[in-house]
Amino acid sequence: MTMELLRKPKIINVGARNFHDSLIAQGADSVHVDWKPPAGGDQEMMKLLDKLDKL
Amino acid sequence: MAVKSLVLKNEYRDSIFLMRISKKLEELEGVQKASAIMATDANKDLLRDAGMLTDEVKGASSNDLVIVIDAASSERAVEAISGAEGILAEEAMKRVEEAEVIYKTLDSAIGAEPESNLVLISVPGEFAAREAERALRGGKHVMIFSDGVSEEDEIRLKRLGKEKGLLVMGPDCGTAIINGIGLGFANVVKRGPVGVVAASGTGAQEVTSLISAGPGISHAIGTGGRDLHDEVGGIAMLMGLQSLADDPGTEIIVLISKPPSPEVAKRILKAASEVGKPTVVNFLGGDPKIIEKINLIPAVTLEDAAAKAIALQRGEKPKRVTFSADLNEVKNTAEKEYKRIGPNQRYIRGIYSGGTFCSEAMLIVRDLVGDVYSNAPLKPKLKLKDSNKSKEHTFVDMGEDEFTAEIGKPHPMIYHELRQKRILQDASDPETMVILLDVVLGYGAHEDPAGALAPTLREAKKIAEREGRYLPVVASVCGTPQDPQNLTAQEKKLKDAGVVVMPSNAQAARMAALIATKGEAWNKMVG
Amino acid sequence: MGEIDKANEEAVKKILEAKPVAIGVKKAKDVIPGMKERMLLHAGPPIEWKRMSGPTRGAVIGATIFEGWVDKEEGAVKLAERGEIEFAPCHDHDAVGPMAGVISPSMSVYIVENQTHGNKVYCNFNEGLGKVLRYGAYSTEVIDKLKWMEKEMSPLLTEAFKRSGPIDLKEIISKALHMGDECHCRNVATSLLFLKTMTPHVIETGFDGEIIGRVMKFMSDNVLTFLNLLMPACKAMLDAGHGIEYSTIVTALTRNGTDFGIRVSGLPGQWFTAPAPTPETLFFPGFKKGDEGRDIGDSAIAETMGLGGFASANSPAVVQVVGGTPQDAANYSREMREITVAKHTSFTMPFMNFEGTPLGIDIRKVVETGILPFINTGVAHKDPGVGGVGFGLVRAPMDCFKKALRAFAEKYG
Repeated sequence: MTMELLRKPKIINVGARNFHDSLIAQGADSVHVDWKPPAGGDQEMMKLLDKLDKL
Repeated sequence: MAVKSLVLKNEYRDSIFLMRISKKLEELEGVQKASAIMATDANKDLLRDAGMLTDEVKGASSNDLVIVIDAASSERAVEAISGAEGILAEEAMKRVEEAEVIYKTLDSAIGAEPESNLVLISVPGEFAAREAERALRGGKHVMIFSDGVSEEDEIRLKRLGKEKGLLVMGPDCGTAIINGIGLGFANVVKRGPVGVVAASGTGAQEVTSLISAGPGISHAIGTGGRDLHDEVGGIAMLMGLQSLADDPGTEIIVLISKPPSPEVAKRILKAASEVGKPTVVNFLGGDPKIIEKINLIPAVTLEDAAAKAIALQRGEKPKRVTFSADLNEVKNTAEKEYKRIGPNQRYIRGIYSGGTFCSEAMLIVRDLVGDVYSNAPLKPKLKLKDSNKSKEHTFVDMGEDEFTAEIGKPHPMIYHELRQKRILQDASDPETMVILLDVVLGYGAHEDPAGALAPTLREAKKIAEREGRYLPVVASVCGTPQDPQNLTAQEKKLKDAGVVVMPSNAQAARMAALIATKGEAWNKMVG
Repeated sequence: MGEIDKANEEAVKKILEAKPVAIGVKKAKDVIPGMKERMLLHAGPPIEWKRMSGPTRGAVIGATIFEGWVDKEEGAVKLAERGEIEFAPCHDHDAVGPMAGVISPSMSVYIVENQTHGNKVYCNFNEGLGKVLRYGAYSTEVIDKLKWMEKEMSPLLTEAFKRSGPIDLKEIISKALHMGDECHCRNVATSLLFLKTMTPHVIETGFDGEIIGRVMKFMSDNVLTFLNLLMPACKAMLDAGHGIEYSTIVTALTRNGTDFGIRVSGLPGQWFTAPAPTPETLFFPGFKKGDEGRDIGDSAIAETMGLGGFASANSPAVVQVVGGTPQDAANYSREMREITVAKHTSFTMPFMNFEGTPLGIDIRKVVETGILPFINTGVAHKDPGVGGVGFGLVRAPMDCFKKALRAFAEKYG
């Protein structure tokens, strides 16, 4: 599995936009996720979502 | 001192963008402190500590963007606040305009991009583990740039990754180079047969930059700073090692870390010896004999690791490098600096952005000048009581939490204000004899670090001059001529400001020690 | 794949398999399950008289007069206050109604049947724009029009359907999407296609030419004629995917001018409500900010089905309502992808490279991303007795989804 990565990294960038921009500037394959805190930071909802994830 | 704030509900921007905004706001007239941040509980605490927590901001939620200005007068504060939204909009427009789709969640990106194989995570620490787990369950390798992830989570994630044959680089992994592509903070390096696995981002940066002048780099795999702790067990380094072992493009391997626990060291060295490719090991400050015994090649500094890797690849005998320039030249340069120093100037003041550079420099210098105090010392008794005040020989790592946790999380590789302040502070201290710095280039770093520091360094020297002293400044620049900032151009800017520029962190430390001992350390160094 | 994702896949499968067809016209009291003599159905989640919004009250008053239970406004109000009228959501009786959505026993309704699974949904006739019952108006002219619709439009359509056989509504929607409709605020192509199909059969009924003329003109002039077939078609498809254990798919988004309510597949029998938001409105001439009422109508069933606001990208004309460029409209559709689990296989958007419309709103995704379903809607005046004031944009409120998630975790967690 790692061999594929070493051959051609295809990146999903989550968080700081400038890392994605740097990757594009290098001609790399990258997409950007304009990340926001899940559930707007609502702790109760995050716990529920994580609980349901396990089902 | 007037504080005014603005709350933008349900507006979110990433922390690096907000840092740029904070910086722009502080450039406004009369503004003493400015902060553009998300109103998380942690950030509110920081604002409170800075006397900037207004009632309005107190009532804001972690989903809201808040701008707080501390200005010389109420009028200035109000002016700055009214300019703030305009600045936000302007900066947002400067972002790369593109026709491609931007995803709002990792899940939708994974769903729409089945070919992807690596997720690079730089979200706030408290959310990073969650995203990393999703990435792993989605079958992707992970690089966690974020720090502030618990060791418990790190262990859980790395075990999950191991189970699935997926690499977990990090947390707190600042640098990786995969197949010529730099991830996070990385330099533009030549491609070649040397592969690196590093538990230090700046360590990886220096080694790859130096090897770039030689045969070149296949990949640099990061592991995160805690990988070689007992509990984590070196999972990432072992996996990285295996990948380089399997990679036909890698002929020589370099391993870099602070000294791992003996148990973990044993495991890693054993694995490395079984790979069958020549391997250089730099466990900073570790015992070289253990490494030699198992037929691997020990290196004492980052530069030494690079030099040995280059020599191995060329089939030459690895040489020990003290200084790479002509030794007489080096002696003369040092003399020119130290002969102008006053009798009361006694101490080296290292002001670092990279933790590994700071540690390495302290190791080199302590044998030559004596104990060095630090906020990240080699011995607990040498810990600074107040990180903001230098004591005797002091090397401060300004990338450490107590500096970067300040409002806006400005890392000194991007944001220079804290280092500039410290340089001037130490320059004003009559006992400061030499100032020692690292400057880091590459993707992710400031667009012109030498340009940001040079005026401050000139000012520092002037301060000393005005008070009848001479202040030498020694620096090394980590990078390559192909970096966006261009190593050659950056070194020149520093030289023009009167800085003694050395080709590596280790040599810069030695030069500082040479100056500080007025040449007496010479025999110890070259003998 | 987890239980929830499996269940959602099942729900989407059923929704895609559904085939809604219009089979005829009958009076509400004769076909709507549970319809009683002194009952009025209304749009949105359950609501009692004293909390009813202006437009809903207006429609209740008008319907009461239309039914002949009273002859004046005051009488209607007294009846309602004394609890002598039973109110119920259209949704709870296999029906839907646009805006105030009041359906009374003597009103004619279209019968839409999902041929694949057998379930049926009912909806009244669309009255056109302006001063109409569904916008809360109840003047004589409103009542007279309703009476005329019963007198001439209803019998004609009843006969025409007998001759035409089932009309494939899914096909009309698919085609109309390729003709610039988003099928909520813009139903120009759908209405055209429907009328084209019905015209020969209308003529074949042999009814008086002038009646045919009046009815056809009325239906042709009304750009929203098909809305009242689109809505039951959407509900018929979504109901096929309702009641599936472990599914987090939203099967209804709806409002009554006071509350916004959602229904979730894995939580049958429950409503999750929050205060209805006020739409950002583009006003008809003569109206201004401050006139608009709160979000109202069962018509958000279109968005629930991936049409309307979710298909914004598809309607360059509606773009003016969304206040921007075609790029903005495309972005709304893209945004809705983040909160849906699938793409429709028959409803595709030429302006998005024929990509299927976003289908299957997942409450988990809404809560996680903070992205709320985006709705294009008609806007009523906030007071009873006035009528429609414009078109607008609104987002479903987050609280509905949080409540649903809590209930879901309690039931299945």
